[in-house]
Amino acid sequence: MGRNTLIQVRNLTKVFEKDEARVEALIDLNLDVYQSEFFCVIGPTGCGKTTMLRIIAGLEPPTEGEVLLNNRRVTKPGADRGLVFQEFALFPWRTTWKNIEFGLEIKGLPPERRREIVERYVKLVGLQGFENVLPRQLSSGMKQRVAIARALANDPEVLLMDEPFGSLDAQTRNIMQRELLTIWEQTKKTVVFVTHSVDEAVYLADRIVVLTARPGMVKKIVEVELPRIRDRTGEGFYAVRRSILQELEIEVEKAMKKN
Amino acid sequence: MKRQSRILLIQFFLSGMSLFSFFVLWWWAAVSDPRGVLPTPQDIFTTIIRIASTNERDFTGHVFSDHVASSLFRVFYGFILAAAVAIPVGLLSGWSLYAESISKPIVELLRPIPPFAWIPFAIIFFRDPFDSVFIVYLGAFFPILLSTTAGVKAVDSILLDAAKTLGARRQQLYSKVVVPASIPHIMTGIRIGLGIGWMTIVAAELVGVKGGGLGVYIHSMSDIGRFENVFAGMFIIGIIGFLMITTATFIERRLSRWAEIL
Repeated sequence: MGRNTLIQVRNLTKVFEKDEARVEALIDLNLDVYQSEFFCVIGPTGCGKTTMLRIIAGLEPPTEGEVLLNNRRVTKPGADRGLVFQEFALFPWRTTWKNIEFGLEIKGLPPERRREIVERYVKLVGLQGFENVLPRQLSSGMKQRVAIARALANDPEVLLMDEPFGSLDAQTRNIMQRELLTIWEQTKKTVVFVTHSVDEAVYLADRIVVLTARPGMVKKIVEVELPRIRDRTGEGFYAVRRSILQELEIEVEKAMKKN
Repeated sequence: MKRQSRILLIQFFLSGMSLFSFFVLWWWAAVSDPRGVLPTPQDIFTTIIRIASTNERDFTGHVFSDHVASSLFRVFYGFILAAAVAIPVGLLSGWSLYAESISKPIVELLRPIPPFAWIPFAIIFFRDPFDSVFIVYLGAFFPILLSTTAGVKAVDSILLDAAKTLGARRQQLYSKVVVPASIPHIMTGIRIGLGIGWMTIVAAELVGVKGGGLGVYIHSMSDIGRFENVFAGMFIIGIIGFLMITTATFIERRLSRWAEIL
């Protein structure tokens, strides 16, 4: 199909060992993520989705296997992979503006350049008027916008998102999904998006990988060929949902039996 | 809103009543003291007015404002030194387990020793004003150190992760995340350290300092049996301490406004 591979996950295994306990989070996981695609990862709770994302981000070392970004092995975190957390992880002492500016400060960009970039991303996520507000004064939806803007302002090659809308209420969540798509279409960033919501995955993704119950392996990869903006109540949408739900249900049951 | 203002009014009333009863009880204790040693509140009040408004030197050779100025100087000196050492040490030992392994045994060994127990040592090893400054230093040092260390340890690891994915290297994690995130704890340590530093002043000045001091004043007045002056000195210490803590709390709140705890 002529798609460029941006991220290669190769034979990735992650085992957590603490005292006597040994938890296999991921076993021999293999995946490709293409340039500029919206890639969703879905799976039952505890299947290692977040672990996979943290390994790609470089925050966690793999036990075996490797992650390649542009054919180069990931060994530590870096500005080329922006991560958006479910808990927002904003710096509470920094205003909206200063949070978005963080990565640019780290890069040592001159002040005029920083201002230009921050201004653009404040606008992109619709936070005009809230530039000088501290995170504690923002709603959850706004906090996550700041976090997304902060990650994007750094101009990463890939935007990693770990259940970013998981703590939002249903309405805000739908709005944020739609806005994220708009942003994605404007920036053409590669997005790896972890979620446990099938609806969210089908609404957003070009491709969806369904992981098995722990230890996480690839169960199935689904291409979503519905045109955007997708109709959540349309028949095509339901068909994709159904096929994923069927796969997922088996895994969720497995996961529940284990616990 | 209406309910809130009523609660405030009741609180205000209770505080006022409490203070009033305190002075009444004290007055009653003073007038019924058979030895007549305990001065009444009005004795102390008039004494404060008298010593604050006169330029006459007392028998120690100082006017009252000298005593106040000397004590303030010593406390700020000791406090600044304590903060200058305790904050960097705390920032380091909260961050690095190795640094903590080095500092902890010494700190834990010295911390339970009351500052006052160091007075003989201070007299022998330091010269005026460092002998009294050293006592204040000891009083202020440990609260600042412990708070700072606790502050660094309390930094949410997710903020460190976020900073790492934004490209921060180790030194930047420290200056841009660990230090600002610890500021509320550091400020709490500073407030407590300043309070304890000030409380040690009377004992600190037992080292026989030159240039007066509120501690010197209290000891001297006690020696000649002038108890209303002793109490006046105590009151001034209390009021200055109160003003210091209030100011420190104000600054603490301003700097920690971002933290949702306040």
